[in-house]
This record gives sequence, structure tokens and C-alpha cells, in this order.
Amino acid sequence: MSLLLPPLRPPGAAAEEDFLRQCVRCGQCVTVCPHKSLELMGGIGSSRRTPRVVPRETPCYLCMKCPPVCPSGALNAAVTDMAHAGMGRAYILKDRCHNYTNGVMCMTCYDRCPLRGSAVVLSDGVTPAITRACVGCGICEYVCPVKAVEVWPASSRRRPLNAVPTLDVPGGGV
Amino acid sequence: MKWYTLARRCAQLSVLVVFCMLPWINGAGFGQIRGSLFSLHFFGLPFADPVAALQVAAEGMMTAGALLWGAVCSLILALLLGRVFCSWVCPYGFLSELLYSLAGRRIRPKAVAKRETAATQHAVAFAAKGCLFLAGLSLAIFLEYPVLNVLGMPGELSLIPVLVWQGAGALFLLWALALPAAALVLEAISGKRLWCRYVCPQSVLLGAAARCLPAKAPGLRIGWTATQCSCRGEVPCRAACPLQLNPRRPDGPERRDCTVCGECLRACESRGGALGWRVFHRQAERPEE
Repeated sequence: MSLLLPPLRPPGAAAEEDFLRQCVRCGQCVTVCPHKSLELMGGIGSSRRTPRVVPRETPCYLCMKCPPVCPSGALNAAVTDMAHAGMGRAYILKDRCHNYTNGVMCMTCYDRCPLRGSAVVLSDGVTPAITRACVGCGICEYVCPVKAVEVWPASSRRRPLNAVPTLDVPGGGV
Repeated sequence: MKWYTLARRCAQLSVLVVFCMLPWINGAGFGQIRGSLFSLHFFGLPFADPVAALQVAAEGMMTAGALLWGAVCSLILALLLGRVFCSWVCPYGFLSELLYSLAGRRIRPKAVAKRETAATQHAVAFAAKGCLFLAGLSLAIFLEYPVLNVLGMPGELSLIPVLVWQGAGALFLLWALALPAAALVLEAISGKRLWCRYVCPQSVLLGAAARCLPAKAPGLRIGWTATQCSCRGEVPCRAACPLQLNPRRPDGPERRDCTVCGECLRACESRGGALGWRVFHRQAERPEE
């Protein structure tokens, strides 16, 4: 994953620039998380002491406990539905995923997705594919046995070059 | 030890201990106290660093209720009780004070500055803090993130246990401790409470709030009764003040700078007790002995 990517923010986070303005770096979201998915960032500059998720270490399990405790509104307290977490989006990398490289049928990401059936679907009935309903919790990135999934934060306008195209949500939902 | 000194030390120590254990306590499922001194949820009451809230507002963002009310609560507390946060809660204040009293055993007694120069010095010190504060606020508006948080010593210190809890590396922790440690070392060398007097952005807003209390309105202050003051020439109360304030003024020490720590009262106690806690402007005269 590119080091130049902005950090993956907790569920319900405002757009990155507004998030940096609003977050008071108090750490409440970090300590309320029962999975220790969030960590305060180090360094200097604007992202110092802001919370982020590092899916390769611990993904977000979308328990949605952090938005209500945010005192500043950097995390929108009204976001209580995991389908609206809006953290980012997962991409399956064609050149790594079993299904695309060596034909081994692997559905780990599909099986473990908290929004299974809407965020990850089986295209052609067998091959996992991400849809626009994906909120970027990072569980698929965490569980993928061959590191073929990358979650890119909502604030990133780009996407990995070798990604499987993102599908529309089945049933036409948003 | 006087009861108020004992109470204050207990308060400071328990704040320090609670914050050191807070992430683990929260992790065990207790959520009545959570957060840091940037924004604290304390048994349903919000408290927040007014500097943090002001920066968010200055950047043009509307803060959510908890931060806004937290900041208002902190400022109201400072208005009514003075800067009690600094001497009863602030972990940096506690460490700084410990260091000051340790250093004091070695190098005091010092010459006490003349009253007029001391008053000017305090005005200059507050102006310096104020300029730094305004510069930080402008920088926050310009850079669009709360820059002044780096100087928010109480909040920064209360976040360090969170960093330990999340498993931050040694280098990360050392880097986080660098500024508080450097400030403490400087204070140990100079023998003065430098940060609280010349830098702390929190004390600017809390001091300004404390200063706003009208002279006749009820509120916690330290009062001085001229007729009971028996010290001629020497000023044990001023020598005892860790911030070198002058408590011998008709309205007591300058409310903007005084942290209501009670050290001057302790020094005065054995010398006639001209200094005392005041809540109302004119306390009923005590019967003459």
C-alpha cells in the first residue's frame, strides 16, 4: 500500500480536511473501541494524534461505538448504521488474488465481510467482487491470505491500478 | 499540612493516577470517565479544553455539543472558582509544582522583587502568553488544524497513557514526552514555573475568564484583610507563592494569575492570618479578640 495515502479514518468521519479541522485529538474514540482498532497517529503536523485504522494490524469491526462519543463532531454521532460508515473502499488486486491469478477458489473476504451480499458479492457465483456499498472497514484486507485486498480511504480520489472493477450494489441500492 | 493543601495534593495525585489507568479502566468496560484533558466526559458532565474548542471554532467549524458545553463548563468553573484547574487538576502543574518545591529546598530564600516590578512582570508575562496564544490561533486558522494542541500540556500528558495502551513504540513515546520533559528541565534549572507563567495557552483563557468576575460578585478568591496584616517589611506570603504573586492587595492576589493553590495562606497562617478564603466580597467581620 502506498505510504502517500491519507490515513483511514474511523466510521462516520467527516471529509479529511474537515476532519483535521474538527478533531480535537482527545482520544475518546480510541479508548472506546472494544477491538483496539484505532490508534493515535504520531509524527508532527496536521495528522498528529488523530485516530486511524490500520487494517493489516487490526481492522474496524464496525461496532459503531466511536461516532457517538466524539465530542467535536469530527465523527458524525448520527452515523450508527454500519452501512453508512463511509471510511473508504476495498479493492481486490487482480495480480494477487487467488481467484484471478491461479484459479484457486477463495472466498475468505466474502465470508468475513460484515456487509456480505451487498459490499462483497460473488460475480458469476464464484468470484468475490467489491461493490459501491463497501464502507472500507478493512476486515477483508485483514483476513486475505495473500494480501490481495487493499482498503483506500474515502479521502483518496485515486484507486489502485490493478484493482478489480467496483460493481454496482446488487438490487440497485445506494 | 493544612487541610486545603492535603485536599489539593490528593486531587492532583488522583487525577494523575486516574489518567494513568484510564485506558485500561475504559477497556474493562467502565465508561463514566473517558477522554483526556482535551475533552473529558466525567459522569455525564462534559469538560473540554477551551483552547481546543476555540481553535475548532476559529477554523470555521461548528463543534458538536459536548465540546462546546465542555469548554463553557471549564470557563464557568474558572469564572467562579478561579484557576483551580491549574493547581488542583493539571498534571503538568502538579509535576512542575513538585519540582519547584524540591528545588526550593535547595536555593530559596530568594530576594523578592519589588511589588511594582512584580506587578509589571506579571502583566508582561500574561501579554507574552496572550501573544503566543493569538499567534497559535492565527496559525490554526491558516494551517486549518488545531496547532496549539501541541502546547496543550495537560491534554498532551493525559494522552500519554493512551499511547502506552495502544502499544506505541519507545521512540514514539520518547518523542511525545520530549516537550514536557524539556519544559520541566528548564524549570528545574531556572527555579521558576516558566511554562505556567509564560507559555501555557490554557491559562490565558482560564485566566481571562477568572479575571472577568466582577469584584463584588460571589466567587472563590483569596482575600486580604489589611487590618490583620502584621508583617512589616517582610512578605512571607509573596515568598511562598510559587508564581511570585502579591497577595497583599485589597482584592487579594490578581485573579488572572492566581491558581488558588493556598500556599500564601499557609505562610500567613502563623503570622496573624490576614489572608483567608473568601466567597463573598465582604465577609462578615469576625469578632475582635
